[in-house]
Amino acid sequence: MSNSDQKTFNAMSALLTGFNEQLIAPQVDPIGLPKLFLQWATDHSGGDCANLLATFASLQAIVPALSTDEIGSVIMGVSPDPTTGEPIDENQTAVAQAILKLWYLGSWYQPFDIAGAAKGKETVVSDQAYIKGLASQSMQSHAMGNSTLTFGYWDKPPAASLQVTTGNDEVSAGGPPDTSGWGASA
Amino acid sequence: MSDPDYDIIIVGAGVAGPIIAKELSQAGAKILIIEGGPETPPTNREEYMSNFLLNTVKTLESPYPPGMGANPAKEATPRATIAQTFGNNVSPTWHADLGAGNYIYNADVSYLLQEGPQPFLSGYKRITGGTTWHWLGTSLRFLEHDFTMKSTYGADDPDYPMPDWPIVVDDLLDAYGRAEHEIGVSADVSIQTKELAQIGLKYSDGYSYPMQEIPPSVLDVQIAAALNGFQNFINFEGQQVFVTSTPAGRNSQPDGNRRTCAGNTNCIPICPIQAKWDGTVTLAGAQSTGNVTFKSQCVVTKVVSAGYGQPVTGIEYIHWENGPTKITKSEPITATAKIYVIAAHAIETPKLMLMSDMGNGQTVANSSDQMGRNLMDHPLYLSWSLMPEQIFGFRGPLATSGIESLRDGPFRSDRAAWRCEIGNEGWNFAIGDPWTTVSDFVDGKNASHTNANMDRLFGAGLIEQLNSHFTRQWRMGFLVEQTPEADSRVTINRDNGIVDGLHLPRPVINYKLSEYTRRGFASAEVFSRQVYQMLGATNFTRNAQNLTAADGTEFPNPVWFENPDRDMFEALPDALKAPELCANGQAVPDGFTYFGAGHLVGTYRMGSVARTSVVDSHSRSWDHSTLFLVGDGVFPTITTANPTLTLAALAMRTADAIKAQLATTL
Repeated sequence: MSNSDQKTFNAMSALLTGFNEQLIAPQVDPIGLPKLFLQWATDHSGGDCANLLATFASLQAIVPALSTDEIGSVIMGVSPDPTTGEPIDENQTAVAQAILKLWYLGSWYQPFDIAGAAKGKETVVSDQAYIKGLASQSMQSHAMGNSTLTFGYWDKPPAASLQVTTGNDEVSAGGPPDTSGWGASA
Repeated sequence: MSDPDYDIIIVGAGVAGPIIAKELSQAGAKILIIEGGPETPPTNREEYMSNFLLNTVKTLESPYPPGMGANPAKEATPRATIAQTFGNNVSPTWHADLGAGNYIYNADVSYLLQEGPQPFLSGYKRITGGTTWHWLGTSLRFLEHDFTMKSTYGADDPDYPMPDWPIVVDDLLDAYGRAEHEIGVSADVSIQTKELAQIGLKYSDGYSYPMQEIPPSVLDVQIAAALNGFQNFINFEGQQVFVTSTPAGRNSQPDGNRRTCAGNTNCIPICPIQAKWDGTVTLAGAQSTGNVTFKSQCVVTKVVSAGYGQPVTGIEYIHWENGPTKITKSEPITATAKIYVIAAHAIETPKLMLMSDMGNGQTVANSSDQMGRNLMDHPLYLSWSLMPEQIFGFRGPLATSGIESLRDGPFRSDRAAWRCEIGNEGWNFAIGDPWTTVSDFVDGKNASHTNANMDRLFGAGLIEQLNSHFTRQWRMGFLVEQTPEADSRVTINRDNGIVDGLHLPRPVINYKLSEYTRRGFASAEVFSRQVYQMLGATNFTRNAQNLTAADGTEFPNPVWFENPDRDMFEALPDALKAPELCANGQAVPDGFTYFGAGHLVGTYRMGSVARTSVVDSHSRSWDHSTLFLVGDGVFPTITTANPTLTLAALAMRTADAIKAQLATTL
């Protein structure tokens, strides 16, 4: 993987996850999840991971610049590509979703059939991928089975705010629960 | 006759086996422990942890051998697992043609051959340390009336389903204390008795637990603030409700070389730091006496006796190894002792005993024809909701408090009691979070029922939505007291051609929940609505009547049963019929689904007469004076408390009886 690909992958990962890039892809990184994840996504998506990175880079290059929200919406298939007026290729969006879940859960959900892996096949790509999964940071906790805290911490709310656990000053924690989905498919 | 090889042979190294071994080896007895599964040298916690981390399905069996998805026909010590009972393993014809030879779950996947009419949903381990590798640590004592159900609540009713025990709670108080000290239970007597003495929780005078209590979670405190002292719960006339700290076999301080609990939220399936007691701790204590010989990977195939009224004279076992391509096994080996203790849990013990043919058409220890009958579990009603405020789940031990104060009451004359466990793991148990909700909001799906708009999120929006859900999720688990039923049972069938990797027969299970038990589910649903109303919480519980096959067709969910008491719901005030308080949004539920609690109980019950029970109150076989069958298989009733502490206390009692019996022969 080229440095350029890795940089694009890291930037896209930060945009999609909402986490600070320095937090998920630190310059000094003894664990190396960004490299592992890019390699894994490349190996399990035919050419569509490379195509996705190219799409992302081209969206970043548009003048005047698109907002991160606009770029993310295009990547996730929620909005059309402004240069074509059409959604981006659905396989590229599927790879983006798989990469986003990989960051949050440490598991790769095969987005479409490839040789050797059917759509939907789930793989925990490494023990550290599970342990460092961002889902636990989004809940201001730890991966189940990997507490770094000490006896009794659970009788108080988390010491670290959501802004700290995500490195994102823009997020607001503690919003009201959205229960509008209640009863949708009883 | 030559001298026996040992004073005592113990089959099984889970809870009861190591406790009895430790008690008696310290007294000088020479003991052989035979364990069917592999040994667990110190490195195995890391190996098991690694299995857990890398398994996609993190069910309670996920860390342990044999591997997930192994064909039980090809393993030396296959065992029942939760994953084996997943919907994708249900035989397509299960509901149409149950009975001998037709099983609910595919026999290539499911070790247990389940003939129904309902599935048994709990698993266990066949490794050194047994099922305590993934117990929660809950160490509740039974209550006074748990031992006297028939005389207290059914004396005038010939059809009352609950028997009395042959002992009363006072007979066990001392043994409970010894068991709590062996396990290292963290709790405070004054806090327990403050709210629970009223329902018959008892301790010896002056007793104290070995470790201070484990602090309650943020969630526990919030629920206690809303509920404590309230006494207008429907169906529980005048009974006060309290949230109480749960005594637990987890370290609130260092114990030997074991660390203090660090709140890994992973007691099940595996504590990464062994802050939770397990059977290997006590086994090591037994081995340190120098009086214990330990043999792993040895599966006992027969207990030998000449007939009822005759002693057991030996056991036969096979030693196995996993070879490169197949299992290698020894010829049968015979070992002898003065006393034999079978401690192989409530399915493997009756399986072994039913395999122990005495050559006269009879099997060992079964003159009562009770062997294998009365299989019980705590069928568990899970109710999950979102709180209006953040309560920060997914932190701390999996559970730190429960509602115990409704475990006893006059209602037990006609419906099942339960205890309510408060879970600290969000909706992990309920819907498989964080995986399900993350996938919903990334992929625009709604498996969690919380993404009705099918939003596909990223960035800060994703973080905020997940934070909002995960910090408000919680659940109650109602452990419902199941009645013993003669035809809920473990049997073997040597003619069905279905065997394990040692060519031994596999357990055939028949199981059902009685009307009395099912009514406990109805009262749990009503109770949960009142709790949600008081908390302002929104109920997201789903009881699925049907499952969807891979090809999209629907078929009946075997763990669903019809609501046994529609009238109870019709009579509720309208406020408790509001859809956001009700499971499935149904004011009058069509039915309920149940989970297993991992509490395998009752298949060689103790009693006061030989005609209707397998063992006496010391767990000694009525039929063979040198044979003891121990563990929670001896429970005549399951009560509402998790079984491990009581089976440990009964093991202490058995150790005393064996010591006395040996004293006459040593």
